[in-house]
Amino acid sequence: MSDNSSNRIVIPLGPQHPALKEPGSFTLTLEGEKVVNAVIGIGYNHRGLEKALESRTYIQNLYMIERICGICSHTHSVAYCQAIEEMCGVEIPMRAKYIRVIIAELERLHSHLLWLGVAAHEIGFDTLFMYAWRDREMVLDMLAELCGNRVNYGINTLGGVRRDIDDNDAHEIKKILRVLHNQISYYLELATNEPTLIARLADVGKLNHDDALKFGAVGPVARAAGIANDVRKIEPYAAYDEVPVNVITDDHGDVLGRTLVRVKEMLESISIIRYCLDNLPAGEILAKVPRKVPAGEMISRTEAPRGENIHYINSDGSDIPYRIRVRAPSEANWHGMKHMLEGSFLADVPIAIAAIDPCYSCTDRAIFVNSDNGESRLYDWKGLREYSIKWHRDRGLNIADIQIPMAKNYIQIQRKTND
Amino acid sequence: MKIRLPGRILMKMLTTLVSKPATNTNPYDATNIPSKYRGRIVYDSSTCIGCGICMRDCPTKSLRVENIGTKENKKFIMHYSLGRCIFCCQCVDSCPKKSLSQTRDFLLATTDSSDLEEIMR
Amino acid sequence: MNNEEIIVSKIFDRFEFARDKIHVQKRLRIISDPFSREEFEQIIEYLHDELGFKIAHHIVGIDYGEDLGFIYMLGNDEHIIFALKEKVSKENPEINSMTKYYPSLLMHELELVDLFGAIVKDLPDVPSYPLPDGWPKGNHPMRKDWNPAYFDHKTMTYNPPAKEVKEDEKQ
Repeated sequence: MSDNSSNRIVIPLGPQHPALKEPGSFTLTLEGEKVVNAVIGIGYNHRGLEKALESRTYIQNLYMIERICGICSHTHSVAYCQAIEEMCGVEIPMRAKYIRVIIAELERLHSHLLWLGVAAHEIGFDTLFMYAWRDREMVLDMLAELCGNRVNYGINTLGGVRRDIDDNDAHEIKKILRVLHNQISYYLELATNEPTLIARLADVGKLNHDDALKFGAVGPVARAAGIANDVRKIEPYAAYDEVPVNVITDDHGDVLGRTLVRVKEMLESISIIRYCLDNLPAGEILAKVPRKVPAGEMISRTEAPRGENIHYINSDGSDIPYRIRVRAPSEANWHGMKHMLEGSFLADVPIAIAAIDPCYSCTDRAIFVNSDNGESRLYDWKGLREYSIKWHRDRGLNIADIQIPMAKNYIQIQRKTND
Repeated sequence: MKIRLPGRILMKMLTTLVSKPATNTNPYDATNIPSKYRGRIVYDSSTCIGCGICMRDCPTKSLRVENIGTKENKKFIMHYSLGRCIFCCQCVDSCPKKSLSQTRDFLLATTDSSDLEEIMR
Repeated sequence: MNNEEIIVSKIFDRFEFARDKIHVQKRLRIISDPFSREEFEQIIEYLHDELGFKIAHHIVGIDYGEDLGFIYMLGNDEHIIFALKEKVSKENPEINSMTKYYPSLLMHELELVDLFGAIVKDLPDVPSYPLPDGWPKGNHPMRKDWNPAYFDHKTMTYNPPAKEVKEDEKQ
C-alpha cells in the first residue's frame, strides 16, 4: 500500500453546528480515520457591523459594539471605551476602573465555565457539562444583579460605568465566589487526576510552542503552548496595573493543556475579583466625555476570555467614527486550526474545534445580510419554499417536484393546538 | 480518583429524590427579577422639555418625541416602539430632566404586533 | 531611549524616505504615515527579516476618499504593535500579497479584495471571503460611497439613484 490516495474520502462537517451551536463548515479529507486535509469555511455570520458602526454616533455604537459577541461583550466595550477616552484625553475615575475589572473577570468566569461545559459535552462527559453550566448560571445571575442583564451587560459607557456596586452586592458576590471556588477546585482535581478525561484530551489538537508563535495564536491556546501572552500583564489597562495578576501557562500544547489553563484561570479570576472588592476605592463612577471625538486614531487592546482583542478606531473629529476595525481573538486562533486538524482522527475533530473556543460571530462581522432600508420581510411556509427552490435551481438542482407532506401535517397540528 | 465514601452516590440519589426542582415555575411562581433589571421605559410628559436627546442617543431609533400643543403652549407625547427597543436604557441616562425612567416590567410578549407601538403621555 | 524609539531610529537610518513619517504614539504603539507601495514593501521586509516583527495581527482597510489605505498591524516578541500604512489610488488599487512573510494574513487579504475592491496579486486559489455567493461584482460594501440603503437583498442588486441632478449642476 504505497499509494493511499484512492482510499481517500471527503466528508463535510457543518455548516450547521459542527461542534458548537454555531455555523462553520469544515471539509475534511480522510485516509481511513486520519484527517489528511482540512478546508475551513467561515463567513456565515456576517452582519455588516463595521459598516453599521460608521453610520451611528459614538454613544449608539456602545450597544452595537457589545453585540459583536454575546459571550465576551464586556471586553469589546471596554476596548472601545478606553480608546475613545484616551482620544478625548479623559481619565476615568478609579472606582469605575475597578468595576470594569470586576465585570471583566466575572465574564471570564462565565465564558470559561461555558467552554468547560461545551468541551465536556463534545467528549461525551455530560455530567461535567451539567455541573459547569449549573455553576455558570450563578455567575450569570450575579451579572444580572450587578448590571441589569445576563448578557450584553450595558455597564460601560464613555467615561466610566453606569451602575455602582454597593456593599450588599459585594457581599453577594463573595458568597457566590466561595461556592464557585469549591466547585472549580473540584474540576481542577478532576482534570489533573481523572484517567479517562486525561486519556481523551491528551495529544488531541496539538499546537506546540513554535507553531503557536508562527500562527499567531492568542489567549488560552497560546498559554497552553507555553507562551506567557496576556494583555493584562503586558499592557495593563483599566485597574490591572494595581491588581495582582498571575499569568497561567502550561506546556502540554494540546486540549488537556487548554483545559488546565482555563480552569486555573478561573481560580485566578476569583482571587482578582476578591482583591478588587476588598480594595474598591470610593468616589465617582463617571467622568464627562465630549460627544465629538478629536480627530486621530487609536489602537486599543484588552484580554478577552478567548485572547487578545484589538480595536482600531479612526475619528475625523465628528460625533460619528470614520472607521472601526475589531480584531476579535477568535480571528487569530483560526489560523492554527488547519494545522491542528491535519493528522488527527475524525473523532477528535469536534473537540479540537471546540478547544479554541471559537466565536463565529466575533470572526465574521463585516457583511450585510439584510438590506437596511427599514423594512423587514416575513416569509410564510410557501414563500420560504419558493425561495429555496429558486436558490437551488440557480445552482443547478431541481427540487420543485419534491412534495413535502410535512406542510399539511403542520397545519393540522397547528389547528389542533388552536382548538 | 479514589472513591472516598462508598455510599456517596446512594446519598446523592436519596437527596435528589426529595429535593425541589432547581428551576422556578414561571409564571405561577414569583420570578426573581434583579433590582437593576432594565425593562420597559416610562415617560413623564410634565417635565419633558422636548430636547430630543433621547431620540439622538437611542441606538435603535425606538423613541420619537412629538409636540401636540402649540408653539407657545407645548405639550409632548412620546412614540415608543417596544419591538425595536433593546432595553439598554441609554435614554434614561441621557435625559437631562429625568423624564424617562426604567421599570422592571418584562412580560411584554404579545400576539399582535400593533401592541408594541405605544404612545406615552 | 526605549525599545520603540530604537526601532524607529533603526528604520530612519536604513530608509531616508521614511524619516519623520513614523512616530511613537505611546508605550507599545508605533504608527506610520501612509507609504507608497514600493516604499511600504521595503519597510515591511526589513521589519520582518531584521527587526523581528514576526506576528501580523490583522489588516485594517480604510477609505481615504481618493485613495485606499491599508494598515498592517504587526507585532513582535515585546508585544509592540506597529501600524504600518500603505496607500494606493482607487483607480489602480493593486497591492502585493504579504502572505509570503505572514501566512496568517490570507484571510484579511481576501477581506480587502471583497470589501474594499483591492486587487491583491499572487493570492492562492481559494474561495472568496466573506461576501456570500451571488454577490454582484464591483460592489465593495466598506467603501464610503457604497450605501446599504440602495442594496436589494432579494434580487442581490445594487441600485443607486441616478445622479442626473448633480450633472446638471456641473453644466
